[in-house]
Amino acid sequence: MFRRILISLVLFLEVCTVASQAGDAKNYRLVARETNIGFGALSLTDPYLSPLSYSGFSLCSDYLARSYVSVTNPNLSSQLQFDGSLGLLSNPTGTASMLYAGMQLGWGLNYHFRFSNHFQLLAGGLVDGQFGLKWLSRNVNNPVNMDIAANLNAIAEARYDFSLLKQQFRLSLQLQSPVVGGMFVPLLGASYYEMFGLGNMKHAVHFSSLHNKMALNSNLNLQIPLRKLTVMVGVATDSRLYKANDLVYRHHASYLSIGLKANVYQFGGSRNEAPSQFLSTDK
Amino acid sequence: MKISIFIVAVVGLSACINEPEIPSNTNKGNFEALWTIIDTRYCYLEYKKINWDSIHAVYEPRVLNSMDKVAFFDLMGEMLAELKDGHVNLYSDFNTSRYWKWYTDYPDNFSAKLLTKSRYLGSNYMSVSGLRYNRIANNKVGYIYYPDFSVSFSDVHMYNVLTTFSNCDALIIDVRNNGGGLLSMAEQFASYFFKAETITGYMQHKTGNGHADFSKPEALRTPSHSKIQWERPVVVLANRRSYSSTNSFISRMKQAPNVQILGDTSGGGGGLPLSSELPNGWMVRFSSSPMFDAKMQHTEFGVVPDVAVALLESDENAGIDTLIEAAISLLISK
Repeated sequence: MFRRILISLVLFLEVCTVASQAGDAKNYRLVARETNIGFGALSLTDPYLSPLSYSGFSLCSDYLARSYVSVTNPNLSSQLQFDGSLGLLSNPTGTASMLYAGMQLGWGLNYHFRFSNHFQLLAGGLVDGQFGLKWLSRNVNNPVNMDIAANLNAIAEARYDFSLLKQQFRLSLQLQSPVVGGMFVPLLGASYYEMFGLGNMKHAVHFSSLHNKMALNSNLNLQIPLRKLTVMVGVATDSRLYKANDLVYRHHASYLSIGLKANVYQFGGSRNEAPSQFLSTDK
Repeated sequence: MKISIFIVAVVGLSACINEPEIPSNTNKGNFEALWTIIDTRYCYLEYKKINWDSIHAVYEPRVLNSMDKVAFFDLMGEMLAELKDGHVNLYSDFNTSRYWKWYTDYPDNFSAKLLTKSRYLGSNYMSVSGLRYNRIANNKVGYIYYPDFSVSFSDVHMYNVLTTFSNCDALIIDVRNNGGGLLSMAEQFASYFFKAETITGYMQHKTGNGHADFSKPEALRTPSHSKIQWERPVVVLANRRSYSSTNSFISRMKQAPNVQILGDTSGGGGGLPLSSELPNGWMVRFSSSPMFDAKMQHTEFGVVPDVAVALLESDENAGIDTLIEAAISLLISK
């Protein structure tokens, strides 16, 4: 009898322990990291440097890291992104060339609307800082113009998951457009010597919104699972049209892009040290 | 419904940003583009009392689409020469137009050969970052020849040059035939001779397409260098080929204590030039931001020296630089 009671007690405790373990199961926030590179065509008009449109080829790269803000709310995610591009352009007659380098750093939040198991829409906002440099070496005293802007952007992403040949694929369309912000656009007659040498920056910094700045970044890609990674192939565009000081600036780039995506868990710092069963080359 | 209102609003807002039309790449179109650039962006049309509309009336009938590019280029160069400005050039892939009368119509007052005489730089002079220097007049006077403001030198270079002259009573800075370069170098060079920051000029820029649309004058300040100071007498030698940034340097130095300008009126070039482009890819450079002296007088036609001295032919034939000798006399008499 005593043995039956003891065995029953041990079994009960075992079941309680398992149940307790199931109740304490911890959720972990993974970070979806995407890295893309692209090659394509770039055309731009910068009337501070030249009234002519310059066109040529461009290389771009972007990095995006996205994770849920909290493990208890799988509808709100944050994203950190960094883009960079380089371009070599020439004027329509091929008598002058221009170098372009640009970058953007942004942080934003998305809300996830799940309409079905196959279709998801993310929408939110992103704050970014942009810096670009255009160098028209032939010019005298105005060989360079800078693109400097800070924006609050509306962002959205549509995801459609589907199966084909027993493989899971995803079609994704990401959009980003500035709504309000500030930008640096010098007066046509003001030299950088006067602006930065003498500190006369009047009429160089402007409020921007849809009335004087229209821009759209898009990225349409097909995501193909490949072992532990996801390969992304697609097309991306970066279009900007803005006006200040009666000057109209235009920037349009189209890229064919390829990239990789992986979901990773981040250990690090003193608050989130890796348990001992995780072996790190950093240790 | 809300989405369609949003789309209509966005399309309506985009209509606020209309890209300007570029003239056609024909001789007529390129003429109009060039004429308009000067009409809207050149800074001296009003100061020089140039009737640019009448220039259009004179030149437009002479422009034919059938002209070959060389003839068209020459005609456009002729039109730009009406501005009488050494900072105005038209650049093509076969020629560069220029206006040189700002110095060819005047005496040189300079001979590079004379500088190589043993009583001046000689052949064994010291040279660092564009500064050629030596002690002259029995080691009583330091002499610096600086021919190009686009060649930068550092504080260390200037410290070493002035240390070489530590036993000299005075200094001659020769910027004859210096066609200019970096405005920042003009400021830096002048800063070694000021005891306190001084307003040595003003600058404006175009704010609109009108010939009189200018910003408020912005003060051009010459700082006093915090570590390197030359406080003994200085003479700056100038001639008509002292142009652009050199003109700015002379204008600044005119306000410095213990400094006198000697020689000829400088060549001018008081307008900071910017560039633009024509539909055919030719580049045009033009004066865009006028600069003024401390009394708010234009420096486009040069800075008048404190002591006017011309190079005498008899001196030149005898291997003597009249201007350097006059500067030595002026400095030693002090």
